[in-house]
Amino acid sequence: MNKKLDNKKKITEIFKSFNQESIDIIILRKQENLFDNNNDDIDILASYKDFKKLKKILKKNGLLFYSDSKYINDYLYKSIPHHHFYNKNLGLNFDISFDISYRSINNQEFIPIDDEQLDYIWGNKIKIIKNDFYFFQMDKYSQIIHLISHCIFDKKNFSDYYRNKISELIIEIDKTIFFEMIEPIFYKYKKRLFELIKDQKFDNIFNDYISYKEY
Amino acid sequence: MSNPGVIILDTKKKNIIQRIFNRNSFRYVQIEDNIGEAIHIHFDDFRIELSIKEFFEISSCFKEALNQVVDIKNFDINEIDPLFFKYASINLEDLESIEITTVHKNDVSFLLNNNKFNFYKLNKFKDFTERDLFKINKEKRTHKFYNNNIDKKNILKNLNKDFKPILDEDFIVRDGKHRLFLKFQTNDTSEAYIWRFKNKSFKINIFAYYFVEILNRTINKLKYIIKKFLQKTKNFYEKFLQN
Repeated sequence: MNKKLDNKKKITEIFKSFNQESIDIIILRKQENLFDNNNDDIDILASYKDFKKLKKILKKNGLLFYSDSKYINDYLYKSIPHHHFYNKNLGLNFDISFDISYRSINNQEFIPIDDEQLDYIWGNKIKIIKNDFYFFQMDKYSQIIHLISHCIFDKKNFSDYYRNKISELIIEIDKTIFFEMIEPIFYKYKKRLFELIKDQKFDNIFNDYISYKEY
Repeated sequence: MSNPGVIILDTKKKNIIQRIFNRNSFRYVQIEDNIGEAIHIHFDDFRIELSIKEFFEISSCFKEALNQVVDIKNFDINEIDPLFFKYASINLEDLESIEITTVHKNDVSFLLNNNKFNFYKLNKFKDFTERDLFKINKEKRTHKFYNNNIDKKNILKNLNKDFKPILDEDFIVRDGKHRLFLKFQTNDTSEAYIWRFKNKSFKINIFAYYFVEILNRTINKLKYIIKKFLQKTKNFYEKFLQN
């Protein structure tokens, strides 16, 4: 119980400091579960220009730093390794990325999305105001595209949380805009992907994707 | 963005010696399936983009051309497994003849890596089991999503009575070992193609294979150790000097 309270207090303090320093951060996934102790990581998108300020705040709050390694992973097209700040006692891990990259199907190299797509995400971010602080989340189009890409490329499956979240989002979006935005990632597979999601056939998506031939 | 849904179908790179002594051809050729987008054929910095239909069309053209270029009796590229052909093609200039011969199951050797260290070894038909061949033996494949589970029922269903495996001059099965094994379960003999090469260039030298394999594995292990060391040094630096 104490750990959960400490955890919540620490997250609140950290986010308040981000706000005071005018550091904009976008929570990429599971933003509804920010204070949930079972949530493994807090996945954040930040701007690299704010890194020093972020680091100072997180270290001041007792979090230790490490970054993913270029020696172990391959980062293509200027993709940047994730930076982690953690406190094992509190069960906290801030997973900070400065771009959005997905792991390639073939050799698991990190491949970033285009600058225009990243600019769209920053330009259309939505402010979420809590009692003591605020943060940003992606708009519904960027969010659904990010979750689908994350499940297919990084996870190779759809967990229950992502199935529910994607199913919620898919009924809220305009199909034409969705197709236009997802085209640079899934190309001609976009329509089939949309149908599979609509029909809730999440179990089939990965295998269907890698065996797709209509192009 | 660059398509993350990329699968390398096959790749061929020159080694350092080939790069030094043969500068007149491409350094690497790679065929990629960029899912939903196109098939890419890379020749160094030059790239051809094809639809799947176009890719099969160009493959048929290459096959037709190969059948005309390789002027050897009994050579038909349509009857040869593409994976075997890729491996054999390096020595294609030396191919002298392809004969059709009847072979007895006691005279034929099979290459299997069904041991603890996954080293290939020569085995006679009587020396290994169906499980050794179908379950334990694992062939190396470039294609990441290649289905390594070889379905016996499917092979039997498609096994033609005129099937002929490809053997080298030492009667080692070089292509069609699963089908030949199943054929030998009911027949003592089978017809086979015997591929003969000049200067025995296609001959298996098991000791040279062991030497190269051990060398490759040692280099890979060293690379892994160096990467791990660099990673640990970096972690140490971040943990104790930056925190």
